[in-house]
Amino acid sequence: MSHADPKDRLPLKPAVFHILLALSNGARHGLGIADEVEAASDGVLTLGPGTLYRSLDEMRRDGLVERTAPPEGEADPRRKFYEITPEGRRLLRAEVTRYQRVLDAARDRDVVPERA
Amino acid sequence: MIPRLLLRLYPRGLRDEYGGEMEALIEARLARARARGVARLGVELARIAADATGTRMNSWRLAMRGRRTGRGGERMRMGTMLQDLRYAIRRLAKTPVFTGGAIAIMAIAIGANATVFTVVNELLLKPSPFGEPDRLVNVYQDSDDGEPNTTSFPAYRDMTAYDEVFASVAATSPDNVTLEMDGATESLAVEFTTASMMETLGMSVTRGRWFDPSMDVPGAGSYAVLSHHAWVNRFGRDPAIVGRTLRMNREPVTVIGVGPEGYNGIAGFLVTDAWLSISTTAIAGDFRVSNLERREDHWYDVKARLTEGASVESAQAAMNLLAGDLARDFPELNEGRRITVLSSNDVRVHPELDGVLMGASSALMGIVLLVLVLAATNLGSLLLVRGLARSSEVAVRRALGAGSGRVFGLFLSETLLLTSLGGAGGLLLTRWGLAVLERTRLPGPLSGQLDLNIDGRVLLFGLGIILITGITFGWAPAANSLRSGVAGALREAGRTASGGRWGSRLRNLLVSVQFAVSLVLVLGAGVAVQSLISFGRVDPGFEVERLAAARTSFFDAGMGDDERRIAAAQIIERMGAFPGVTDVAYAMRMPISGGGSTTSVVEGYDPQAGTGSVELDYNAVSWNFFRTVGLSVVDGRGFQEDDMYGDGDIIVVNETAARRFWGEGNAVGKRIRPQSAPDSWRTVIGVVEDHPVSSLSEAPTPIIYFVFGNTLAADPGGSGWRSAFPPNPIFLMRTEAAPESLIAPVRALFGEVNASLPIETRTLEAHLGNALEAPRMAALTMGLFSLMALTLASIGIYTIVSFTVAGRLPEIGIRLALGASRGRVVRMVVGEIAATVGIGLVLGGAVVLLVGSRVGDLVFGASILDPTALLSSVVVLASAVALASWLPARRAARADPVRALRG
Repeated sequence: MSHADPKDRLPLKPAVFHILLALSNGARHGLGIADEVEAASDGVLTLGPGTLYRSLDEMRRDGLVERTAPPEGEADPRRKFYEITPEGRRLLRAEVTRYQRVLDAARDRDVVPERA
Repeated sequence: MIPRLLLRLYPRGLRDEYGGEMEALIEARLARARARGVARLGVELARIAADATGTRMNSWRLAMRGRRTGRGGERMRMGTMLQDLRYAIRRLAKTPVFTGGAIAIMAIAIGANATVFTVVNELLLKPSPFGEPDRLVNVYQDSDDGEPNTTSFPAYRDMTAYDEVFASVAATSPDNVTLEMDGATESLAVEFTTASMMETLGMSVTRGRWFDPSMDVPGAGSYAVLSHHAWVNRFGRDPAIVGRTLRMNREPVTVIGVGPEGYNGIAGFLVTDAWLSISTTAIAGDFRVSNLERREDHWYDVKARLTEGASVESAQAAMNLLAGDLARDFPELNEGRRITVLSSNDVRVHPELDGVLMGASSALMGIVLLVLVLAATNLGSLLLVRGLARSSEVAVRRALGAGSGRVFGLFLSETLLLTSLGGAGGLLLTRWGLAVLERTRLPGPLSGQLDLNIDGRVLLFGLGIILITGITFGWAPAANSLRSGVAGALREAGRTASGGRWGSRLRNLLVSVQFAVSLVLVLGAGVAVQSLISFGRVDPGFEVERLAAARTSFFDAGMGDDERRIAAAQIIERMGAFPGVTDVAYAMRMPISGGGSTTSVVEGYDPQAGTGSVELDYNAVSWNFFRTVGLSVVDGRGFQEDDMYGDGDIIVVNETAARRFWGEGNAVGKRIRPQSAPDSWRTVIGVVEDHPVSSLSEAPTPIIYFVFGNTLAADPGGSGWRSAFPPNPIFLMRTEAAPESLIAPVRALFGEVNASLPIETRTLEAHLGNALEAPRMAALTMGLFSLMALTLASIGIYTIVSFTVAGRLPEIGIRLALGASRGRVVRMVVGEIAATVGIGLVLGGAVVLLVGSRVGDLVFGASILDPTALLSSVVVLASAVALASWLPARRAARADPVRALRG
């Protein structure tokens, strides 16, 4: 199922958003995604196996991610790799734009902490 | 292995597609967690289990949503849930025995666990309430036996000089005072405490202020700080309490503050009602005041806060110096007496008590955990049996189009309903149990009130275990019939309800486990009951049946020495005239209540300790005491009327004292004196037969008796051989009537002698019952838990056997039709159970042998490995099992073969 306007599907669920973000700079396997998400959120968000794969399953059905061939040298045959689709990238960009607007509004109200 | 098991927790749909990847992920996660320690591994396991549960819930939700599309879906879903719930209520109400049993099992298990854990937590596990607890230490002077113990006040003062290791040092000494409030007199647990206490503990008062150093000197006014607990519970959070004057021991005492929340005194779990400043000591008598200067009296607990740079070791080194100084300056008292510094974190109640409490607590925790295991397996088998019996219902529902989510919803709603009811019951039981415990005053040195609050985590833990059990065992049979497909399930349901091979294996396992656990618990009960019986048999050494006792307080009535003498004489004379009363006497202490001990020198006896002195229990009695309580004089003579207020300087000793000090038959004419008064020798005039001195279970120890009016005049408030008439004497009557009948006339008599005399009456039998309370309560607890175990195991086994037999009715019908005798059928059914139980017996036996030696010590010398106890518990348990399996077997054998076949 494909949506004409990605805005209809915003806001994204946190898990979906973070998985897309993790895949935005290259294909990863499940553990790689989970690690990336944990690192990007400073350890706040940890994806359990169920949450991760249920989300991946939904996202595959919605055409946001797809399986891809493992890179050279991947030893464990059980590990499958996922990459973001153009549709997924469009949605991610839309969501980030939305965040950007929220951030702008917050900055106007002076509630954004300075970056360390 | 473990990752694969964890994977099984996830819904099949997800597993089919992503199983390999998920396993790899779980593996990697666990490996990482393991590298960071066992605790992390536990957290990770819990996290994955939670993730799996969440995922499953989600997929049911999606499955349900998928089935009901269109408008009003939301309302329909709510409707279905309500419908499921109503259906569950109806089903549970239809089987009241099952429902009641299951709820009772859960309530008992959860309640027992939470109650026991709450107490143990309060006693031993609660984190320290103090500020910077790592810097807090306890300092102990050795007792005469060389064990770390309480400290003398002068030694405490010496310790305060060591300011390079101690930032502050505080001393406190527990006592009891009377409190007059609203015309009634009650007893308060207090501590006489130095002004340095709050600073040392790193705490502060919640209202008013704490003592200041000027209050560390006797006579500088009387001040109290109430404990927070007492302020809340005794004074109803009275906002105007600070500044009020209370009457304690008939003296005015000003309340200047309310203590910290979360700390109610030195005894930890026993509540202190108020702290009194050292300047207030006078209200507890001259002796307490003089005690502040006496190095031979060790009455104070000392706590200290280490300075920044100091450690327990450096503090210990400093205290070794002090101990050396004390030994040099006071060799008679302190030769070889050490001072010990222990981190407060390592001491819970008292170094000598901690071991005992820890042992008893862990045994008790073990027992209640066993009960929880038993309850869980029991509930499991109940639900399993019930679920299997419903496989035909499930099959029909499936055939009519119910999805797996819907079927699960039905089971889940029933299990959740049952579990919440059980949990609520458990909560009620816990509250009740804790209320009973709070009202119970512990006997002996721990006497005082407990402050107990329900520990929510434990309640949740118990509930969690039960819930997991419930879902697992409630769901397993339904899952089994779902797996076999609609047609298969219908076919199978028509034929048998035994649940197939895996079902019967699971059942047998549950029965074995139940039997094993029950064996351990019943055995424990056997031993406990044995020790209870042997306690009942202890001979108090005198005739207690016809004795009544009345305690009063001349001190509280404000009577001086002469008034006391006259009043006592009046009381004795008039008591003697009561109908049926043959002998009357009074004494300083109740027989068999221990208490007073005095440091004495015994002529011609040098104790092993090399100090030249011995600690002796003593009592002061009126001349007729021995006759009244029924102790006979075995050598020399007893006291006579004119010995009282005479100048004979005489004492009577018991047989043990005579034997130990001078050898059989040599006591009369020998002498004893208090250590502090070299010229005050007293001569032994007689020996009375042995009797327990402080508790019924102990072997007799030496005790000496003074006669009233003949106690030492030369030792004002010094050694405890006091000249004054005891402040709180006890009057004893031997009577031919029932002792209870004397209570009313005795009360009237005291009122006539002096209207302000308080009075407490009891029979000696009741008093001795008191002395037995602690061991009796322990044995009773053990017995109750074991009875619970026996009941649970019997219910469990009965249920399973009934169910198995019901499933086999067609087979039994065929056997009967083919001519098998009814006896044979019963034997067959019972025989199969016996095999399962045999496995349980071996399991349980192994556990008993493993833990037996440890548990043995707790139940008063009786060993759990005692063959009689072992044999009798096996017999008890086996009989229960035999009955539980025989009843349904017989019912089956009585069945009409034709109906059974049609079944």
